[in-house]
Amino acid sequence: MELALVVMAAVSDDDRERHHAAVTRRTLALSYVVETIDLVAEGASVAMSRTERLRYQTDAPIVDPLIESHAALVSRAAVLVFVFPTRWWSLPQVLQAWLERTFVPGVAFTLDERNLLRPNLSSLRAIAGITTRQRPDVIADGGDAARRVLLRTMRLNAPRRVRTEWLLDPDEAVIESKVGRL
Amino acid sequence: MRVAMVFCHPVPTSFCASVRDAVESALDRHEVRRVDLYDGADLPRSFADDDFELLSWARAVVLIYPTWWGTLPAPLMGWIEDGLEREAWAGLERVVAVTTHGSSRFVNRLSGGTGRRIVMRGLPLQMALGASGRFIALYSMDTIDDDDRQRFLDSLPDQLHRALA
Repeated sequence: MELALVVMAAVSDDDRERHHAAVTRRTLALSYVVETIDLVAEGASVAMSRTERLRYQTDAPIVDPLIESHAALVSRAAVLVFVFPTRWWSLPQVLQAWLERTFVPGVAFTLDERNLLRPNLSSLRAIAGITTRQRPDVIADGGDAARRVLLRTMRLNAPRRVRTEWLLDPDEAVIESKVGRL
Repeated sequence: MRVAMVFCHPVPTSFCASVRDAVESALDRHEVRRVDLYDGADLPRSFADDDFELLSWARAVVLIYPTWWGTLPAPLMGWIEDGLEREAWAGLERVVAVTTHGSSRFVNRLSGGTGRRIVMRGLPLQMALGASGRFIALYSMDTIDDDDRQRFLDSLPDQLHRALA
């Protein structure tokens, strides 16, 4: 069976993210081998370090063993599901930093001879975001940043026909139905 | 004008640091206070009480950062959102981004122009009535040459003068 990876950034006090992640895992387990990354519990860093930035364009851009293990999962994943709260417009800092540190050259993309980006996540078929909104009325003002980053910028690393799904404050039935079709 | 300059790049010798220096020279007619989130350390610091005072003092904020994932780097976005939680942005009149992109303008449009939307609209709506944003950007910085990069630095005084007028 293919791999589905659930990445959770449960940074707020309530347990809605944990609940969403549990329903997501249960639903995905019907069709995939499911792995979960809990960024807060695993103590993921909230920023790219200077050391990491200096190594970014070398053959060994990953410094942190935790990120090394996460990158191996990302490379194999057929489905990526992100579960997180949106405070204003953007992804939680720990999740944005995780993208910066994990989706590095050689993992998410390669650079060709003209320094242009070539997608490298060849196993990836679907990307989904499941978010709870703290201020639903302002999200559009910031251009729905979290969605743009996960669905549009992420797509630049994926095969052309990757599917996307975006769930806002969903109930259990919506997660089961939408995630069940990934 | 009272301007808070906020710099976020992990590498002190980066081109982005040259951009910061050029911005600082260009602001010589303004009263400027500087924040450097990494400040030579391996990891950046987060929003502190001093930052609340800085944003209360300033009328304009100039953000200098590399665009990663089409948007602001994680620690800078976290710093901004922590300030918003405390309503530290409420009295500001102008926000200016000065940012570098590795990829082209076209690729950034495909990827959604995320950072630009936050600076041009998301943030100003949390600032003083009538506040506005300006977005000063260098694209394709990995593929252009030194002359092009220097031209961008040389253009900053005029661009900032207009942005803060």
